[in-house]
Amino acid sequence: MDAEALICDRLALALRRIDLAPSYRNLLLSVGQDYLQMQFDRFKASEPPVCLPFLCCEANGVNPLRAVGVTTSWFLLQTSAHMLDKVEDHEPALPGLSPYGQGICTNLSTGMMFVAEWILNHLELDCIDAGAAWDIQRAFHETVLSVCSGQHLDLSVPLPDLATCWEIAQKKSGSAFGLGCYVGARVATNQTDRLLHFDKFGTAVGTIVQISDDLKDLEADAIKQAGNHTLSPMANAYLSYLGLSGQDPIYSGFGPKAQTDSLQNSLILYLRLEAMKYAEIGRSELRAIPLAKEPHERILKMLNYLSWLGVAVN
Amino acid sequence: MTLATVAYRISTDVSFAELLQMNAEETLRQAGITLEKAEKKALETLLALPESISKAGNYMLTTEPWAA
Repeated sequence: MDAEALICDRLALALRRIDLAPSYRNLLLSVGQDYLQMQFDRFKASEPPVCLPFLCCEANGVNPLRAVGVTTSWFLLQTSAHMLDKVEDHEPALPGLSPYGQGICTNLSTGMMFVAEWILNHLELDCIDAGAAWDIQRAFHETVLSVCSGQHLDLSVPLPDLATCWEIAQKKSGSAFGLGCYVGARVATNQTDRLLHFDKFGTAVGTIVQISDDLKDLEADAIKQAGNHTLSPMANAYLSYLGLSGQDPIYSGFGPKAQTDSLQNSLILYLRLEAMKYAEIGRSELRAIPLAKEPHERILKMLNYLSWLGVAVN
Repeated sequence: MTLATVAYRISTDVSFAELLQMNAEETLRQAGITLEKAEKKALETLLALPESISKAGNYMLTTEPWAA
């Protein structure tokens, strides 16, 4: 099964069916294809996270082709959120989008949300019954609001404490990935307990993805230490939790190098341990339900890769 | 969040890190640190990796190739 082609084809189908200016249609399609290709290019040791709905469907013993619509919608919402995030942070979204201003990027992002909505309104293409389709749409809408709520906290709380940082991580990436796993399983089953385990598993995966983002922020912190002493929210929260301050010369790069390094290393180690913890939570969710062996193993491979950079921990 | 304390102690207290490597449960008990099941499993996984403590966070400051 060529997951990348299936997603692109469904996106192209939706765009053909909607009355759009050709240039807008072409840009939506090319940006979607670029984002998708980026994910597949980045992942060599396991399948990319965009395949999670397919895998969750298959793990429930159902042909993953039933998950084409929900996977495509989920992917479009992720892409849309990523683009909006970049606009809010005044950062470029994709190299290919650099010629376009924030207005065009925001409008593309809005368009992607409604293309996702169109696809969700046509789940009959995947033989999904009306009841399941209604529940899938409900899950999408509620999760998008949860992600917006997390983003609001992220943008509006100037110095969140450690507990708030994790709350934000779970509301943003956690619930988004919980949705991907829930809807992937939902096209295959209506058993509430199974769906709940998939939702929780996805939340753990999404939190790990957020941890990776935090590690990236740490890299940025390390680079700008010499001139700019503004630390990422997670770094600040971690130091506060330990009773230290981000303004402390030790952390801001003007203290003894050994001390600065050991503090930075301890934060990286902390994030790494949290990633391993969430991986364990994810594994225990999947252990609680019987699953088809081969897709189950592929999901675990992805989880291991995400949580420990490809080192097998099972 | 107790893992924050553990990570800090590992990185800044060599003797704590060594004791943890030898007998994690006893070392945590003596330090008054109680971990939840998943936290304990995460720490065990870390400790089982070769040179996990001696390298601490040094080798980790690289963003994953898949990070957006």
